[in-house]
Amino acid sequence: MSQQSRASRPGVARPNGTRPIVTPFFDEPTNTFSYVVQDPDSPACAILDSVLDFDYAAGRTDVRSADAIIAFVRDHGLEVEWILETHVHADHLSAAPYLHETLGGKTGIGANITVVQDVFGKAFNAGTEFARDGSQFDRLFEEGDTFAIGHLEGRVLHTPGHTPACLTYVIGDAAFVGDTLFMPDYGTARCDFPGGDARALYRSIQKVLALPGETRLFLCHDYKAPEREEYQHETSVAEQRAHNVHVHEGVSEDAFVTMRTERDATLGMPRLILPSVQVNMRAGHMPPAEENGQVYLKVPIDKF
Amino acid sequence: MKTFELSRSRAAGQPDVAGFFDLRTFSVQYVVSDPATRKCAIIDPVHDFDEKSGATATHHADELLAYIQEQGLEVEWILDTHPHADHFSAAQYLKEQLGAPTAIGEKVVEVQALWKELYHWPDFPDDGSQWDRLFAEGDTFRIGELEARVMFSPGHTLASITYVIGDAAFVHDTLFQPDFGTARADFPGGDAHQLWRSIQAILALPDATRLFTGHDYMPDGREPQWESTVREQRERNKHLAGNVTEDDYAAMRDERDAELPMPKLILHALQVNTRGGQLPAPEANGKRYLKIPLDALDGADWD
Repeated sequence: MSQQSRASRPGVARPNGTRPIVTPFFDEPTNTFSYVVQDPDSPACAILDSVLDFDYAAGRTDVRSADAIIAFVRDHGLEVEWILETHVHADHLSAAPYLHETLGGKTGIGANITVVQDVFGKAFNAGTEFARDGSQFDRLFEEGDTFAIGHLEGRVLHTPGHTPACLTYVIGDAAFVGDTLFMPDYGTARCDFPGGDARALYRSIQKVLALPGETRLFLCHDYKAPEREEYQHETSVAEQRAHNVHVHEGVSEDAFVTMRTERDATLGMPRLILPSVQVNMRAGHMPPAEENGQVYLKVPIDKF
Repeated sequence: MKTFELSRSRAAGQPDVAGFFDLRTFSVQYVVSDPATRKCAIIDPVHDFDEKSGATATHHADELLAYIQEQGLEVEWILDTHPHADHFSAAQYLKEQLGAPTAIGEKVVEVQALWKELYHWPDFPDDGSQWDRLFAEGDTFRIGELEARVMFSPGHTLASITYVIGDAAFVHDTLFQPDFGTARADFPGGDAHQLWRSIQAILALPDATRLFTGHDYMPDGREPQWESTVREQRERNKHLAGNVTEDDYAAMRDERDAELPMPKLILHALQVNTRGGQLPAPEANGKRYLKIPLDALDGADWD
């Protein structure tokens, strides 16, 4: 179920293009935050990391979560310029094609999607119809690329580690860090999926933590934490530097890698990794239907 | 937690029944043996499967093999009560290990036809040829000197059967323990009225008949249990006790089923269990894949 919580609004007067309005949408079954990032000075907005509802047991999809975002965009008279993914998610299906069809906008993801497409194209034995060149997206972003959301400038940091294609989108004073950092009391993302790398994650996190201390960080997931009963989605660079349980200031790269690797060895696969990855590697499109018109996802046996 | 229990024979012609509980799927697998001849049958064996990673394992089936070896038993039959929707059958794996024949209810061909469509397997033989024997109502067979008889018990699935072996009946997904009630009847081919009639036929067995169920969901956190008697079920089953009529039962069942999500493995399990426990053939890359039909199964509550 999708639920919209409080928007993060400008508190003080700032020059145009520096402080987006950020509205989170939470999907509790997958613990995912999607965002609408809005230029306060124009109707322009971007949608990040949307969710397609999925009932794995019955193989059913639904668009309740995406419809909540669509309603918000329409109610506020917004124009969608971008539908962005921070990475190929392993815990939910992307609703990007549905949002794109309904609201327009260009889709974007990291240029290293091609690496992910290659790995999972093989794993799922996808046919030749499945292009592994990222062409399912309108734009493939690389480190340092910039883009506009109205007057806002977006800038791309390549932040691999959780996956090889992970990006952080820095939009004005806000950074959308995907699965790198979680809330300070929860820590960091796992690095044991195909193409993951704990050392790369540490370096990516340092890049994020080198942003100005007051930079607002928006997370892709929250799982609550010991002694915290509420879901949270926003923190700052300064808070992360001071308090992140896995990578606060003073934690060395080697210490982090050891901790991360040991912890990952104890984690089961996410419940939706097999359905998610084969849809998200196609930019959220389903695999082609068989001759009977029916679409099937595939579950590789004894592969992972 | 109790995951094993032996229910002993108390007279000639009665089997020893060893139950093995799989907490992951809440399933009970059985080894039913004739104390006189050391012959036995396996009922409803589980092939472990982790749907998150797609990994399979044979821990639970190997537990059966170890017990059989330890007890010096000889396996004459590998039996399933129906094509399960919540776990993979280990019948093929055990057949490879033991060489014993496999069997299931003859109506399995109708279940095969139904899922052949859903999975789009144009070349799949939906003729039950994946098993060595298909049982019909009233069929009999032997396990050593034990007499076994088949009752057709549809309702949970249209192919479900009950094995009555001496004074023991393996009812699988008809009756659960009295404090949990009865099986759902809302899967493709399920029918609450049929389930009621199948249960009545089981409750018409002699009062002291030992009933062995296929699942236990440990209501209120109690220890797993899987054995009851006809008398206990008649007196105490929470879905049947009192003056419940067929119509009352069917209405209760349908109402309750509408609130249940699909079992998390139904789409995975049926494509293995309609093949008698065999995994699908590998693709050209040598890897095997299950198929998950999207938006094809409706009716159950959202998971």
